[in-house]
Amino acid sequence: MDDLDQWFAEQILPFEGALTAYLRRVWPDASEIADLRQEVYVRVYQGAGRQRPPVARFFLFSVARHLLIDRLRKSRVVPIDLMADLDALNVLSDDISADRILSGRQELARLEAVLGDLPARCRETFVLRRIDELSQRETAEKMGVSEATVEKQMVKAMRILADRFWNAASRSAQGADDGKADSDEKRR
Amino acid sequence: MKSAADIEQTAAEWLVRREGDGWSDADQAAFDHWVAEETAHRIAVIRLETVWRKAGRLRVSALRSGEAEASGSVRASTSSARTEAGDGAVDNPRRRWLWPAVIAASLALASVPIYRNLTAAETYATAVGGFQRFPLADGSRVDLNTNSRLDIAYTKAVRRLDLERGEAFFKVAKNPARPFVVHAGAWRVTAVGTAFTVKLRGGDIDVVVTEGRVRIDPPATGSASARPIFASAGQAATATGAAPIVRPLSAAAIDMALSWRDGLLIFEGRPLGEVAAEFNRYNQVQLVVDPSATGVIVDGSFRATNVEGFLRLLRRGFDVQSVRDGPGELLLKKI
Repeated sequence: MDDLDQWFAEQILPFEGALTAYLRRVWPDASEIADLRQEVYVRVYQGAGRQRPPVARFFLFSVARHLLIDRLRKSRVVPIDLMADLDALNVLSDDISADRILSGRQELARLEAVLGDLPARCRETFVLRRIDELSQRETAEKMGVSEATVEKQMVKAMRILADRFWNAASRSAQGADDGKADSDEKRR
Repeated sequence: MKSAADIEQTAAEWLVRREGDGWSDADQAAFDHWVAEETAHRIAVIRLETVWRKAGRLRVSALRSGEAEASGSVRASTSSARTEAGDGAVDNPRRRWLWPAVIAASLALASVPIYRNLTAAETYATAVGGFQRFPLADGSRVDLNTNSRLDIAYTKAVRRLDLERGEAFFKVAKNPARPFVVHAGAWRVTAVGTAFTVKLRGGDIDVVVTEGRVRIDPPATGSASARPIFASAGQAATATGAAPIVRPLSAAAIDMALSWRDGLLIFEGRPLGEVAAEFNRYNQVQLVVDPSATGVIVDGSFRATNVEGFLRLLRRGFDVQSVRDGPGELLLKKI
């Protein structure tokens, strides 16, 4: 990973949960969220390649908002609700503040929780292969399945882990007393 | 651009194959080529690889807890401190003899994370117009509605949650041995394997049950008459004072009661005053209904934060106009 990749992983991806929540909040079609997010990421990555923005998350959300406006202008069928006012696409401070970078230990705790979310077979494969460091063949033998199945389970584990890990970001959203006073102050 | 899901699948297949035995230079070259082809490819790889690498650290954590068990003198509560001690010991071959313990520990880890014993209290809060969906440590799920605050204080014996304000939907992971109890005001709503919402209004609560059954315990007043009541799937309970009322709800009414989870407000023949009050929960600007407009009946679904759209509809469809009425207030008047 080069410098830009590193920046992306450390400054942008931790806000995936918040970004996803924002897209869900403002975009009517849930099936398009993953693709929209991908497009936001591509624009952010390319933009940052030209010039690294000073505050990553503001940049991220402003890119997201502009993308949605572009989409609305181009699409032939526009949800009335959204067309009615583009203000609906506004990024609230709540959207942005809904996240923070985790410490190493918090990260580990989250990974443990996420690991528990994997389907049983998938988790077993992951633990044997990745934690106990068995080879693919040994794992297959131990589980009584083909190597292709082990590979498939690992692919699945990798995707679920990434998804839950980044999106869980919004779950630990507000710290213990980041309650009303704080969010009131930051809003608008 | 190809779909994000397809690209992610391809990226994950590459990364898993790269860890296998048969990975050749030609494979590496083909992989590099694929990554360079599109920014979206590169991003998918960064996104997966970063977590994958972090997940390798679980090995460290498993090793440490295995070590604790093997020595028999260190309890789980100190394992977190050890994990922070650094990563130096991971590849030490002398620790190999610990593997049986490590494997046992890592399997246990999958279902009982080490740190969970520490049961830290957590707080989730949303601002006006906000919404949050998150899983809890036990696998239960929570949707938190606008302007709400929920404290989570799990212990080994009981899953306790305190709804400090607002409204939340709970999808409860079954565990009869460890009841799931929501405290709202002075009320307690207890579930065992259930999906339900609790809405706190002043000191009163509304409970809508979509699955299973909940038990509602009134505030402890010392009087014997304060008995718990039960509400089942398809019922709603309104608890005011000390006497909750349980009534059945139609499927449509339940959908409506839960529509906030999709960011929508759905009304079917509701008076404007009620509709305005609902909007007010989600928005800074507060709608006040003039007596001239109280007779207006509203049907339809709205995005909860789209007051503008709602006002436009009122103007066009009902001849109801909004005029500024003090700071942050709009008065709805019949023309």
